[in-house]
This record gives sequence, C-alpha cells and structure tokens, in this order.
Amino acid sequence: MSTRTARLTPHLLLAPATICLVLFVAAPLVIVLVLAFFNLNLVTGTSSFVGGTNFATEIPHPEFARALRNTLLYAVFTIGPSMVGGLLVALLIHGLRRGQGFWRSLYFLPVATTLVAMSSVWRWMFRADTGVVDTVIAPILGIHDWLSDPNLALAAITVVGNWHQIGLVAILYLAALGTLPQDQYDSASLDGAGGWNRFWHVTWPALGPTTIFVFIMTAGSALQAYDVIAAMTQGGPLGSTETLTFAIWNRGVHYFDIGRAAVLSLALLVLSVAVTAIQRTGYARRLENGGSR
Amino acid sequence: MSAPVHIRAVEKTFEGAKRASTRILNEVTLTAPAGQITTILGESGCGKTTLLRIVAGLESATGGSVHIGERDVTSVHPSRRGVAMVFQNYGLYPAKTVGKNIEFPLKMAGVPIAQRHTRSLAAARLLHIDHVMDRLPAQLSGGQRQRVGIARALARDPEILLMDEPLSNLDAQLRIEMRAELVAMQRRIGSTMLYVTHDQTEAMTMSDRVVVMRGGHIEQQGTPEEVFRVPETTYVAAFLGNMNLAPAPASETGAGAGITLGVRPEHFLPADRVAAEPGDLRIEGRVEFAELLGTDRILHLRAGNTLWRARVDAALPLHEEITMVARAANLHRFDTESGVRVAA
Repeated sequence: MSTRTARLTPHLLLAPATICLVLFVAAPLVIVLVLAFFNLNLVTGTSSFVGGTNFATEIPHPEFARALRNTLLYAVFTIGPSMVGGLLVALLIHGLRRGQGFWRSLYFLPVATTLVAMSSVWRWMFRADTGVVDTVIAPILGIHDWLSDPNLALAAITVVGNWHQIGLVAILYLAALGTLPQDQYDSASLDGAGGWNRFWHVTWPALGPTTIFVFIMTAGSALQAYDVIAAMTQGGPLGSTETLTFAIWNRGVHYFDIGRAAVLSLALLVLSVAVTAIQRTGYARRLENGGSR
Repeated sequence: MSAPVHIRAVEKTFEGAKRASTRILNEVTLTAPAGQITTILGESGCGKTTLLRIVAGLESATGGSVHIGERDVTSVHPSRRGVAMVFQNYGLYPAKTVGKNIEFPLKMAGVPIAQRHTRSLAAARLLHIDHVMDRLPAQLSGGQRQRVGIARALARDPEILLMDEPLSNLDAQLRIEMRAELVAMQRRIGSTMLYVTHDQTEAMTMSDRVVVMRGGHIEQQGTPEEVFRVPETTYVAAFLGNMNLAPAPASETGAGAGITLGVRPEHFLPADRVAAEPGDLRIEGRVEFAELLGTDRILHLRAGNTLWRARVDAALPLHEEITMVARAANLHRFDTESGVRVAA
C-alpha cells in the first residue's frame, strides 16, 4: 500500500500540469497534423481522408511561397531592428541622470496600447497623399501611398511592428541593465577599457540571458504577426502582406478549407521549431550562459 | 619600478537630496612611501574605500590633489595613472577565462599577443594559479578568484597597487595564509601598495605604515609599532589592541579631573607577583566574567564603576577578588574631552 502510494504520489502531483499540457499543447498539435490529411466540410459536417492531397495543392500554390516569404521578411525586419533599437533605447535611458521614468513610460506606451486600435491610427498616418507619412517622406524619397503599393505595404507593416516591439525590448533590457555588477565596470575602467570595450566585454556578456529571452519573445510575436495585418491591409495589396498566420486564417475561416489551413499551420510549426533550434546552439548558447558564469 | 603616492588635502562631499551634502573626506593628507605597504585602517563608513577610489580615479575628489611620484594625477583617467586595483568582490569578468581575465588590461593597452601570454603566465605563476588558466571564474574557489584578481593587477607592472579589503571575503585560515603571501609578493615586485582594511590584525601584520581613519579624517599615522605603542587618541587606543579606558582616579595618578587613563589588558600584572611602586596603577577588583582564550584568559574586573579587562596567564588561580598592578610606564593618559593624548 505504502509503496504504491509512494509510486503514485509524483504522478498525482504532476497530473494537473500534464492534463493542461495534453489538452492545450499536445492535442491541438495532433489535431492539426490529422486535419492536414482530411477534407473537412464544415457545412455538412462530413469529412473524408484525402491523403497527401492537401499538401500537394497547397505547397505548389503561389500563396504558400508568398506567405512563407512574407513571414520570413517580416520576422527578419522586426526581430533584428527591434532588438538593436530596443537595446540602444535602453542604453540611452540607462545613461540618463534624470527623467528615466518619463522616457521609460514613453517607450512602453506602444506596448500598453491595443495594437488593433493603434493600427487604425497608423493606417490614417499612412493614408495616401494626406497622411503624415506621405506629407513628410514623399517629397524627400518620392515614395507615397505605402499601403496600396505591393512593394511598400510589408515595409509599412514592419514599421508598425517595430514601433510596437521596441518599447518591450527596451523595458526588458533596462531591467537587466539595472542589475549589472558595478565592480566589473570599475575594473574595466582601470584596465583601460573605453566606452565600446566596456560595452562589449562587460555589458553585452552580462545581458546574454536577456538577449536570448528577448529573441524568443520577438521571434514568437513576429512569426505570429496577425493583428496589424488584419487591421491595416487585410493581407493585400495582391497578397503582398499575407503572412503564414494571416493565410491560415484566410484559408480556414474565409474559405472553410481546414485541410489546407492545417498544412499552413504545420509550415509555421516547422519555422518555430527552427527558431528554437537556433536558440539552443552555438553563440546563442554561450550568450544564455553569459550572465550566470 | 615604484613611486610614492602623495595625497594632499583631499576632500569629498556627496550631494544628497534637498541640497544636504555629506562630507566623506575632510582634508586628508598622507604619503605612501615608494615600495612600501601603507595600510588605511578604519571602521566601515570612515571613508577609507572612498579615499582609495579617489587614488584609483574611480571617484573624483571635491578638493585637494593626488600625486604619484612627481606627477599630478588628480584629473588623469584611471587607466593612465599607472595604478592597478584589487577589489573585495574580485571584479572579475565572468564570461572570460582566467587567462583572458589576466590578459585583459594588456589587451586594452595594445600589447602584442605573444607578450601578453608570457606576462599573464608570469603573473599567474607568481600567484600559483597557472594551472587554472582555462577555467571560468565561477569554477574557482574564493581564494583562487582573488588570486586571479591580484594576478590581473600585477600583469601590467603597475607602479601602485591598490587593494580594497582583498581578503575580507575569504575564510579565516585562508586569510592568514594570504596575508603572508601578499607581503612576500609585494617585497618581490617592490611596487608601492595602498591597502585598505577594517581588520586591525591585517594592518598590524602587513604594513610598513598604518593610517588610522575615523569619520573622514586621519586619526593617526605611523609605523604599526608607533601607532600601537603611542596611540595619539582614545579612538586609536581602543581600536588597535582594545585598550582599557577609564576616568583616572585622582589618588592613583596625581592628575586632575578630565583625564582618561588607558591600560592595555596585557599590561596588568597580578599584585602578588610584583610589588607596586609609586606611580603604578593598582586595581582591586571582583571578577565578573572570565574568557578563556587558550594560553591566556581575559578577566573582566569590576572596581567601583569601572570594568577593566586584564589578560592573564590561564594558569593563574582564579579568585573572586583579584588585585592587579599596571606599571607607570605602561599607563596612557588622554584628555577626556578631546580624547587626545596628554604627555606624561
């Protein structure tokens, strides 16, 4: 009895977490995987096994390559710039002698606002000819009406994505900067390290774990970018801002094609796993250990 | 290669909130002779670390000047002063190996890589850490970490070595070992050393000169022997060697009121072994408490309103009432009001 209780106890204690994991992580994953092989008719409620047909139609379809390309472009142009920008903002605010609270709040405001609501403000700012962006930039660069231009629409979305993200990155880096050990800066100063060397040899290694965390956060939200696109462009013009997430919604909810939406979801999953793999290897690994050793 | 450090009338005030400023250092003037160990001794908050940081250039003085040799370095950048510093918390770079840590100042100075290796290895050998060059600081013990800190300081052949309580984070046994090792190391390389500590034993055993600081000013400076033998103030007398201080009984000393008498616990002798001579202090006391230290015993003797501490041989038989004698030559007299020594 007692040995059986002893054997059971850990399982019982783990049960709530296990149930949640199975219900909300494992089950949806399996369902998506299964759905990708079925043709589901939402109106009649019937389904039929179609084998690899969904893959065969979706993958060669221009929509797939376009969504993949847009997702990757959006990720590259939001993760990098928002991390670099956020770090710069954090370093600048950290260096201030007064008014840190003000600037911190200012940069955090975009994070605290509703992105959908702010997207309509941005849409107004990007409005052709009369919007702020066109009145300021068009005379200088000669480009206008970003949201209607297939070559510029994604850039406009990226700008909004960065605007939203930089504040969060800056806050995370600021929190980390506040905990940095002063004695290392003292020794670096005596050892003759100038501004750049102090950053590169003391600050950057100490920020390593934060950098990895920020990367995961920004990568996660970049791959799942949906709300800005839905509010500003609806994936257009000509699908030029249609990312994987938006395509999934479009396929599944708009066209009721659950099977092909499942295929797109799997593509997004593969992309997410790839990002996770980056974070477990090489330099990223060293960065993550940087602060603790 | 070594040079003296002259600290002249250095002042430091911190501007606090609401224009309230706190004075940390008040007209501090001292000289650390070339090639010797000068210890700055004081309780925490006396300004000793701030003074050292001003010499290092990590903190700027509000007034006064710092000279290294003939050079006025008061407003020179820390890295160009020719000083190296060892920190209480080691100040190592956690992401760099031991070798890279020691090399770092040389790398910043643009020393070629081959020379960097030889010099860092030489410094590591001196501190007996050349076998852990590839490890990270987190993989070392506290003692080894501090050795890395010292080796890094030595790597660039500094004229001046600044030490900010380098042994405070180490355990007792290691501290005693490192004390002797640090002195031996300093003798070998011959650089000027300014050593900050709150530990009177470290100050007494290691220094060529001791500077006792209190509340931002220098209370007394001299060789350890001078400072111990002839304390200039009651503070120094109590801080170094824990001297008994009590209002002088007029009958015993012949001096007037307002004099404080000082006797070191080890200067009390049992009255049945020595005959009291005129001028000696004679105490008839009741033993309130006795602490056995091994070969010695500290007796707490109550005589009137005063509690005296006497260090006696542990073999001395303990009675409830004991009479002790302190020789006239071993009595110190201080002005009660100012705490300053009065010439006998």
